[in-house]
Amino acid sequence: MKITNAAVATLLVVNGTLGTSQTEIKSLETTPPKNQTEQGAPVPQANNQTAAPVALHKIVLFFFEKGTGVALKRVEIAAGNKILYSDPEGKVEIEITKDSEGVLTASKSEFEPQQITSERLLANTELKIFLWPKLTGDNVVIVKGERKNAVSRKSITIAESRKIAPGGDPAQIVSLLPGVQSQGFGSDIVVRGSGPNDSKYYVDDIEVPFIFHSIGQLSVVPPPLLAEVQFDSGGFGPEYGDATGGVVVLRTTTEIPERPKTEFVLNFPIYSSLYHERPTGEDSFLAISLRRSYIDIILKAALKSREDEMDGGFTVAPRFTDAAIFHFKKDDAGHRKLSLIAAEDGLDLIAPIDEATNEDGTAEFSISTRFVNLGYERLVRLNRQWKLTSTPQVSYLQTENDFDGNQVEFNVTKVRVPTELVKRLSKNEDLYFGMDPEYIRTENNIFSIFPRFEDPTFDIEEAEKEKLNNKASFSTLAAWVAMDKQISSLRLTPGIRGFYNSAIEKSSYDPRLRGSFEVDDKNTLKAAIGQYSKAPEAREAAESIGNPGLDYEKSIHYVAGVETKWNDRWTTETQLFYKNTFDVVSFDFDKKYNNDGRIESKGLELFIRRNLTNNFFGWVSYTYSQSLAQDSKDDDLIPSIYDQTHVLNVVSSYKLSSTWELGGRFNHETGTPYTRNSKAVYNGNLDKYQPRQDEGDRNQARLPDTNSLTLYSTYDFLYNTWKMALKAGLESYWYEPQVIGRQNNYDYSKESNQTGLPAIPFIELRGEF
Amino acid sequence: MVIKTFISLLIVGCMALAVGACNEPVDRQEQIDRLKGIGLVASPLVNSPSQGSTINATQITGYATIPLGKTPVVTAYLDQPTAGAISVKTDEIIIDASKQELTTYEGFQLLKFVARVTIPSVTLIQRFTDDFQGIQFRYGFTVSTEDDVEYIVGSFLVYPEGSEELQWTNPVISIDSPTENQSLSAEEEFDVIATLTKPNDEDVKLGWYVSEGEISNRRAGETTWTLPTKGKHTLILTARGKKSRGFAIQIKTVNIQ
Repeated sequence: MKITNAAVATLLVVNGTLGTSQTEIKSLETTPPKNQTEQGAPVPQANNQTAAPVALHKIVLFFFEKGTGVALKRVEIAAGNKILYSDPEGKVEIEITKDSEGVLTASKSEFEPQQITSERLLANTELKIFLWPKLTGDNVVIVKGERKNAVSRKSITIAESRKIAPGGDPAQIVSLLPGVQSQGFGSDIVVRGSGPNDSKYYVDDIEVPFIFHSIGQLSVVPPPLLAEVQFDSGGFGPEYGDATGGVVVLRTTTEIPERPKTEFVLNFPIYSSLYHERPTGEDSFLAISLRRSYIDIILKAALKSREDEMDGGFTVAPRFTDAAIFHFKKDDAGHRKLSLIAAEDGLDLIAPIDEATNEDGTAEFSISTRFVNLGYERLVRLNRQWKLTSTPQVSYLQTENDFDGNQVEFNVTKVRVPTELVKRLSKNEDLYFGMDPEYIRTENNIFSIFPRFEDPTFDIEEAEKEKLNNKASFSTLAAWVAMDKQISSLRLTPGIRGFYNSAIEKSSYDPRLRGSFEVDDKNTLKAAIGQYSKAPEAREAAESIGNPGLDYEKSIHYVAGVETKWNDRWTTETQLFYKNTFDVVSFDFDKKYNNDGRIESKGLELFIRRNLTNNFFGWVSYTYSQSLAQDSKDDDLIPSIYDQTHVLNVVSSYKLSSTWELGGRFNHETGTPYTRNSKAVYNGNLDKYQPRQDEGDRNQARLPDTNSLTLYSTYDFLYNTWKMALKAGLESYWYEPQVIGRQNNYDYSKESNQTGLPAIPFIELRGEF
Repeated sequence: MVIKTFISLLIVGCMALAVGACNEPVDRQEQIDRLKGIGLVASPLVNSPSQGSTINATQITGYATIPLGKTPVVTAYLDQPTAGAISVKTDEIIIDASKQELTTYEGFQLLKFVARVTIPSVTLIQRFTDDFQGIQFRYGFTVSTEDDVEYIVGSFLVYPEGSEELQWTNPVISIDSPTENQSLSAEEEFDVIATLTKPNDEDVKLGWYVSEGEISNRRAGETTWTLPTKGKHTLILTARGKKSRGFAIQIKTVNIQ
């Protein structure tokens, strides 16, 4: 094949037959052959006869990445000992002689080389070539894990989270980390013995009313919008408060996309979603997301087919929707983030249950919760030393529940302006000043029982309904100061947080100290000690339905450990923790609630992490712990309902090729404690049996250990300008049914294991274009 | 957050029900196969304090099914305290043995027992606000036979003098189908139908009982009875007011051929 290229000014000769691997490329020197000029014009012969001009064919090649349509620059076209490269738009122009034969090879690192036949070149004047991505060597470490002075912090990238987290939801990745228990608690987590209500979730600095939908185990934030999940299981700094457990921060992305991208997900049987992002300038982008469940439609159809079996009818329609709009802009001083998140959860249920009072023997439930949250984060570098971050936000939450004669309607409007000022003292030393004012207004229209599951005699049919019709408002204010101080290899971060809550008219303060010591370039010792306070829940401290005299719950955290970075790929972390949580709000017959409770938790955590590279990542997370509780000082310490001795998670994801990926996770957890019923009484007013327990039996029995295995496979179908990923797998499988609780017959004379749902096969189709 | 947890548990439970994950064979409450309590009612239905702090005596009538050939004994019982209720002590309950009745039906005996609750003095410490739901007095009985025991508990309400709730009365029920001594075919499904009259503004909970067989939905006014083997059998319908603690009972005998 003879090819000319004006830029190279070289004639190329390619010999060989079409498709041979022994294609021989010869190049001629820049000196043209005897019978041609450089431009191919004939040269007059010695005998004054002119040679016939060579017929040339010009062709423009464009190179793109298969699956995205992104133009590829620096695609190498081998031409003998000459190399041609595509320009930033993926374009290269070449000329070939019209009698050319053979193939041209185009190659680029991380892509499969592609051969272009002469016939194809001659048949076109313009060709678009899409190169397939190739699985490269496992040499590049994407996540190395920066050393920060956050003692119990783990950061997981979205790339890892989306592959391995339950439901592919990054916010769920926390359940696979050390110190966290999740089995049987739904989407919410228990952190080092502290209950689900004791931890906080943020989207950057924004606090949303709820982070997880009631079905599907999905968070309200679209995964493509996230960059990282940051989790502190304890010992966190004074910038976070009102939490005695852990803090989860979903960090949104600040990476400006190079081009518009749209992603749709079809997840069977739960939901579909659509996400779109596009650059709106050199330093800004806009993202929009919408997600809706359709399990309500599927369930309705499935239950209709079982109508005849279920006398009285059974209808259940759980649903969720969420939407988000996000705008990010960088400027010379810093950046701005504007976010709007909205979500709705709902459930309509008609079921033939024992509590039914409809004449057809069914009870009706209608539950609906929705919120809208608007937040604006502004980061400004005031000068070389000072940086200011402020995130004013407003949220509106509306809940409407109607079940079995209980009616709950309340609206909550919350305005919050967390603000932090940072002064850089030196390269590794910063001084922090922060404040977090919050104003909350509620409108309540409630006539309902308030579940008190901690009361063993509580019965939803018998409990007295509480009435609350009012408008109330209260405010909280927190302020903190902290400092990062470097003394040789020792880094200390002392801090203190002060706060006031007008609902309980009480103030307090939490001193905290964290430190790390770099023993050598691999090993770092870490430790933290501090107090962490949490205000009682609004209903617990409410005037009419609670105890307004309640005080803050407090927890003292003691943490110590060592982190070892063996190399770029492997890190390990071992930590010991002890938590003494006191003034815990407990149920009280007379005052409804008191602060007499106490929880004591201690344990050992081990985290072995293989950092994310092109092909592989994974980790082993193990927690050994003990969690004891007492309702008052006069009571013995007994196992807390969150006591789980062993929690083991093994997660891994491996790329077999550029399009095939396999992954999975294994979980083993010790069974949780429960209380056996000693007998039951027949309630003649309700026509039902109510269990009774002996005080000494509380939490003395334990469920069997549980195991679950989730395996999945993902295959990418690559089209020219878009791609589709098909993910299929089996969620929560084990060879025998796993016990998630105990169940009783109608009069509690028999007890048997309650097993979880069988392994759920899932299919998810995700398109990106 | 608590409501979200409750919703999550409800949804998981419902989905399990939907996929039949909890569809295991269970004992059936409607089957009269042992000593079982089946109802309690107070008279007056709602009591009121007289002379400020003393309430009038309340008569409690209780019902239980007793296996054939067994002799029941009724005593007072003190249950675990429950939030929002005042426990009646055992010495404040006097069983009136003279009013005890034991009636034989097909497949079982029906015990009706009567007791008198006298509370010497009570301090009405609750404020009578607009959402007042009555003061609950919680009482209990033990019904025992030679080889079994049943703890039966209930409560009655006290409202201030002049309250509308003092006019509450018991619900009224009737079994429209089957009729008394109706002949039915064995091992078929038969529609049992009831009529309910609610005199008070409250929800009423129905409860079917059968000497044998299965009731599809024992809370429904119209449901099916999977008939047992041939012979005479008894059908019981009960109703109770959720607020008033009112009670009604009707019994029918059928002949299955």
